[in-house]
Amino acid sequence: MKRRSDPVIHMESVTKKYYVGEPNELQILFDIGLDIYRGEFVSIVGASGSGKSTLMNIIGLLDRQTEGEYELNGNSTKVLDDKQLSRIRNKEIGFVFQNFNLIPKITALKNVEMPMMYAGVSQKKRTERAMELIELVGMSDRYTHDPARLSGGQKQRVAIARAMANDPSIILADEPTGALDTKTGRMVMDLFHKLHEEEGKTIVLITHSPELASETQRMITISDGRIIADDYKKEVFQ
Amino acid sequence: MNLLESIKMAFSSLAINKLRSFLTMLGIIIGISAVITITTIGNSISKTLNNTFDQLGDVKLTIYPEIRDDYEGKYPDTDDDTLTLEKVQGLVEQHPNELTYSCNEAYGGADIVNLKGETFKALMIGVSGDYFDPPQFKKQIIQGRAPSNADNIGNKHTCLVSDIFCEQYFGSADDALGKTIRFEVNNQGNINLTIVGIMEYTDLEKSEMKINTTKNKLDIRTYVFFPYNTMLEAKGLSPKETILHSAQIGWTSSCDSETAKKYIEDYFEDIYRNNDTWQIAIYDSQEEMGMITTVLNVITIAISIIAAISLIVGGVGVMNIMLVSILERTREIGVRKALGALNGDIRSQFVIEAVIICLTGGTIGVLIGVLNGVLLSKVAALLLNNMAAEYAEYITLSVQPSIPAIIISLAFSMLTGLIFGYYPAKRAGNMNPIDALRYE
Repeated sequence: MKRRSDPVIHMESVTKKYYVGEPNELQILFDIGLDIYRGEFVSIVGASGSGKSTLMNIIGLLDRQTEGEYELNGNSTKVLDDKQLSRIRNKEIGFVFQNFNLIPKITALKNVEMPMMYAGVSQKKRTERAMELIELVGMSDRYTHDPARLSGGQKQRVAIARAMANDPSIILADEPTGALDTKTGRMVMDLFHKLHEEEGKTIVLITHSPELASETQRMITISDGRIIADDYKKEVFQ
Repeated sequence: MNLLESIKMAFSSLAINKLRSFLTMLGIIIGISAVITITTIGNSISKTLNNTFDQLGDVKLTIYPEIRDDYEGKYPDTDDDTLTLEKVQGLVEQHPNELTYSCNEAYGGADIVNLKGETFKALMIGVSGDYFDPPQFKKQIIQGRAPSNADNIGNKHTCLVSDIFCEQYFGSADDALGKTIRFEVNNQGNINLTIVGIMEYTDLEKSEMKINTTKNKLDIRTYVFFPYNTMLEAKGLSPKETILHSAQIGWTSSCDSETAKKYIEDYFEDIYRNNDTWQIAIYDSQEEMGMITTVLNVITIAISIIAAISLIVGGVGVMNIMLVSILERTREIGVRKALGALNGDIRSQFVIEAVIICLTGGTIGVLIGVLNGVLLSKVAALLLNNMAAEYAEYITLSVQPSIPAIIISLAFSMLTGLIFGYYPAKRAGNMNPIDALRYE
């Protein structure tokens, strides 16, 4: 296994609590320690309620840990304000959601352009890059369609193209096949493998399905807010 | 993200729900169109009045005697101490190079015997040399000329008669010019006048004579205009004895209406100082126009206040719809934030949407208002043409929307969008992305 000295994601003793100090205080994550390196395809697997979504939100900078240290590309995220968090989300993290979350009523192309729009990329460059990505995910014949006219698999492919828009450090996919049938789910997974192998993307896949998780190089199992296993595989798949 | 992009985005999201966007705009549309309609009409009326006054030429002050405000007791049965020609001449003599005067009085009805020996009637009117100067009178003259200043000064026996008069007397107007006719004036002496001009029998006379319109041409009574001084001579009255119902005071280029007014006031105040019954009043048509403008302004302000209220109501509607729309688009807001939108990006997106709703409503309102103004002005012109046909030609209808009103209206609708859009937009901007993403 090739490892670099600097992890993309470094977590140390991360906890997440809700209602801190109140009688109904609720702890979701306990003492999470985690390093994810550039070019890894990692899955975080766990049953629903295990805390994997909360972990994903913290990795994705949508939420903050209560205690502990989280460094993204070697930089502490503790001191960042909302504005800086938004900027980092925009540039360094590509989200892929279970229910696609494309913006309705605008074309697939415009959806892919959106993160670049918030990054202040010029219209011309945006369109160029978006077209490249749409080709990469095999949606060239449908880029003018709005999401309502796309199938689930097509929507997810557009969403993956969108996640790639600003060439982020990691792609964070939360149950990306959860709303798809087996066949289209397979296509989406193949696309992730392709991005990982051909584009060298760092991908974190959050899933409740051990079969999907077993396709990845590394499987982190989470249960009741704790990491209970972190397994590396020699063979990805045959 | 730049402004142009936000505007484009706002337009596309408004286009998604067209009916709702339109209904939201309705309050704004109604308010703005009301203001623009009323200001367009007001502006058109004052422009039209101005143009018409310009065309009608010299504006003069009319002076006339009236009973003092503080006079108590019964209405005086004599005309003693009222306005006389002598007084008017005295005024003008005080300011010979600045003031001019003119006056016109009916002399009386006259009987005329025509070539066939038939008798018909005419009304004799003494006019000063400038009576036919205004273009609407001048254009009625179809042959020859009107009694001139020279005729007036020289007590010349000239007259201007109508084409109907010529038909009554000669059978046709062809050879009437230069003929001398004898008028037997009721209760006055006879007078011989030479025809120097023929005018059209006017619509004004027609409408006055309507009561006794018959098939018989001889029953029509026309006007005969002749020099004022000739009339005075015929009456045998001195200027002192000549009582005027009114007189027109004009001014030369070395004077203006305000100075003329002051001269008149000073002069008559002196004369009427000890008169308990009468005083001299001044009628200024321009001042009258000023009053019309004032009334229009008051109406405009009143309508604007009502419109401001409707803008507030419209603004609350916009706020309401923005809140609903933000709730509906919570997920979208969450996604945008996850993709890197700043709070400010989301906020400006919704503020711009609200501003565009209001500004679009305002623009539609302006268009409707201008259209209304134009249509109503046309209706007004039509009515005017029917009511005052003889002036219609001189009324140059100028429909002119008030540009400042349009600019102010648009600025206000924009402001409405900013004010009422800000709160919902701020709420959208401050949404927590996780909660927004989870929102069903």
